[in-house]
Amino acid sequence: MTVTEAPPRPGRTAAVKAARSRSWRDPWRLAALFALLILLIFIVYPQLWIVRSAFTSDDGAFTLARFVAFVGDDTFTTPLVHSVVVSVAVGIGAALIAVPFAFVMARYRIPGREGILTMLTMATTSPPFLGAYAWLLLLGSGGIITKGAKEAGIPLPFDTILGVGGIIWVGVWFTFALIFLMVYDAFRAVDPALEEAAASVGSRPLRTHWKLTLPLAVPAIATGLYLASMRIFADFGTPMLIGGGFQMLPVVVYQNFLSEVQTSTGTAAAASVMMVLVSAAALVVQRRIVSRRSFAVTGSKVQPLRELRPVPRAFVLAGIWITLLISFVPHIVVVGTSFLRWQSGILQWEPTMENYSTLLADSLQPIVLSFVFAGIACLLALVMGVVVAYIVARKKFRISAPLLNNLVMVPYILPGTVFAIGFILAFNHLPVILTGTALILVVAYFIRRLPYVMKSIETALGQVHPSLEEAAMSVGAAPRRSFRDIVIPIIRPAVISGGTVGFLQMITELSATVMLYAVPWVTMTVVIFTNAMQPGSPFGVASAMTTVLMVSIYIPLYLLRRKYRTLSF
Amino acid sequence: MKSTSLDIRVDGISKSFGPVSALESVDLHVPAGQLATLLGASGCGKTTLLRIIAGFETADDGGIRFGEKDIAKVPVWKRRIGFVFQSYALWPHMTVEENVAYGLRLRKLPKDDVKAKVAHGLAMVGLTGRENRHPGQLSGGQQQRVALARALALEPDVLLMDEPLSNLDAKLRVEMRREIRRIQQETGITAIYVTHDQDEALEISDVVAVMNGGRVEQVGTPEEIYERPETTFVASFVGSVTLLAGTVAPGGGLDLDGLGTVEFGGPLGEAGRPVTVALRPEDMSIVDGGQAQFTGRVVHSSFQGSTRESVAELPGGQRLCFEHRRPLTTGSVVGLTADRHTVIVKDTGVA
Repeated sequence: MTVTEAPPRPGRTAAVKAARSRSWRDPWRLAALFALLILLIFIVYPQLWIVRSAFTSDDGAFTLARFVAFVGDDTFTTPLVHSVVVSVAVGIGAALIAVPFAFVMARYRIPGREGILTMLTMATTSPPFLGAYAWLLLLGSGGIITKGAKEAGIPLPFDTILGVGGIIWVGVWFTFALIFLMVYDAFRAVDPALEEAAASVGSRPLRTHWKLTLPLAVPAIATGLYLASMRIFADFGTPMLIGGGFQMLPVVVYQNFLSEVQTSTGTAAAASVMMVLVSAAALVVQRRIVSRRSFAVTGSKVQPLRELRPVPRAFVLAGIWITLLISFVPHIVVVGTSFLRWQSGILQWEPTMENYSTLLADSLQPIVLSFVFAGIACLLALVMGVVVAYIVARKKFRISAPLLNNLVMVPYILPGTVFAIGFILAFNHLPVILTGTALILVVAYFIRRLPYVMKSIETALGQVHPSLEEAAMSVGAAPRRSFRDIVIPIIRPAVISGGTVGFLQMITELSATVMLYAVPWVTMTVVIFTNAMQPGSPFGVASAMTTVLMVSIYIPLYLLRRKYRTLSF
Repeated sequence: MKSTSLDIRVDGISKSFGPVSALESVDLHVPAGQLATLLGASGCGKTTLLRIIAGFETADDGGIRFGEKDIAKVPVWKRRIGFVFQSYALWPHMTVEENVAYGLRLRKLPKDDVKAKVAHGLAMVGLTGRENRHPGQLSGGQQQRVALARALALEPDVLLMDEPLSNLDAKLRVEMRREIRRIQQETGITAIYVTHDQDEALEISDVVAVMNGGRVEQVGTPEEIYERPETTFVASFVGSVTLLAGTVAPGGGLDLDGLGTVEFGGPLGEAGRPVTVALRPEDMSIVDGGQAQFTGRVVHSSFQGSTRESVAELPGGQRLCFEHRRPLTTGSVVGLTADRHTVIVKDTGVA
């Protein structure tokens, strides 16, 4: 209910007052305050602790020294520069693969396109450390290929994939599908009439694509680049597993915070602040490009799919399948090695089910815990997501609605490592103690994925015209009833898909989990990570665990895609 | 006519959105069983007024009654209204049958009753046999019929329609408005219909309220509104018209501000008073020079099928619109006389 801001005039003060008191009785107002409280406790409060810690010296006084060190001391400048350079390199590399790929998929008739699109969607949801782990198994110093090549006497250009090259290689294959999906949609959305208009004034196809189609896709490319770069910038698993000592910020933060040798909470906090600043700056750049370069390009006509001539067609198909093959190497390697015997870290080419029986005997609990944590967190995120999205989209509360809308998006720019440090600093003492409990993981998953879940629901709500609810009220449904009977069923597909994607990201979460977990609350990702970090550890079991993790991601994803196709409104 | 029809009475409704005043002390009375249209350009406040009557918006001031009931403080869902939206607002996840039955099921009516009422409602709008379709599978016209059946299923006290036909194409609009009028008369329900289309308003209403800038300019039957407009705005909004502004000459004719005087066969009012004379094109006849009230040069002529509409420029520069049958050449001089005219004293601008 709206409260007009006009100064009360005599004769209508009573009406205004009545409207105001009615609006306070709106249960959504209470929900808004409650949601705000949750966001303040779990988003703002931990971040304040990070800031406090970053500006406090080891003996408790205010200091700027940590940030001065960031400028002058290359133990900090190096990881910062490394992180930025690697992220940009990964983004560009991924875009170089994704943009041409998206273009041919969007414009030409490609056999098996539905399958290819499904595989690319799968690629965007693979566990973040999967690539690093699998490529390490293949090309690490004792890797399957490196060792095989050495024994066969074939010279390789490198001894090991460890190092900056490895991070970029893994990062590119890990993120290109993200850019692909964004750019593919943009290319599909270009109104064919625009290109026909260009042709009608004498522009040849190649020129049209260069001067018209590509520029129209710039916002999508920028968004894809941003998502890809930030995924690597915030990723802890990849540089930790495959960096081989190449210093990047998440690793530095982790080591400074948790290493047994020289912990420095303040240093970790300062590095965290730097990470947040970088990722906020990247968001600003992305937003600026998108807002400057966005044009309304959607027409009523759908892009027709053209036929390719035989020779280019052969090249295109080869390119597509080689790209897909490389991006699925990690999956193949992990599933393959999970059925092979390992002995003290060395692969024996002997098929076995031993890895799985060991897994069931020793590590059933992490599997169950992963599902329980992600499941509860996902439900929380859905409920909160629906409430916040509804308030933001429908209720014009003057203070709480914009506040909620902005606060809820903050975790979007917080790397998992930073998020975890905030939680530890804030919740390892009174008034709220969560460290060492299982709850800290649940809450962390819930809050971290809330922006994604909430945004997908908000988008769906934007398509529920307010008159649909008014229509229900006009035939006698009170607001709560119309929300239940009209709004919820209509946004259900978005709720389900937002929830599924949220669940997938939660169950594969590593960078925050690895800092927050405490025995016995161990998740699948932690088990895989600790196994992969120890030379000579049971790689087979880790592979089996990763296979289980992949199955638990791809089955819901498959069901979701199938359900969507049968949904008809 | 339904014996339970209630009249609608709106008293001094005002509403502002922040600094913008949308309605300024609007009064309106719709007698029981009649259909009233709120006619006006976009932004005139007609939709806001309708939404206040429905209960979707709260007025800052003023009262609303359905019959004897003061409903200003009754929430929408207890007001017993039927509302038809411009966007149809059918629930996409429900079938046609479920859309119409939803309100009945909320009232916990016995299943057989619900079934009978839904069947009756769909028969009334001519959609029997489409019960199991989803709204997306229907045309715009059919969707609006479902919306109408849904609004009437609960036998509400009043039926409120917000530009229900503006998303339909021209031919269907004419067909649908007759349909709406028929159903309204059959059920005898009191109805308010918002539109910006004067043809629609004139054809289907018992009462037309012309709105402009948050006020009601004139309320009357369609004939009154068309033939005896009280303000220049009403005259220019409804139908095509020529407005000649001037003052009443000492002889009772219209002094076109020094550009000549036109006699209208009788005094237009008190001498010296500023007035506007409204002339409908169909009331103009071509006559020989001697008897002509106006002599002008034809500047534009258009063929419209059953008639021709032309514009003559008077010596003073005013443009006079008239209907005639025989072709006229542009540039020719023509003598015109008005068979009928309306004197308007309230100048509220033109639409």
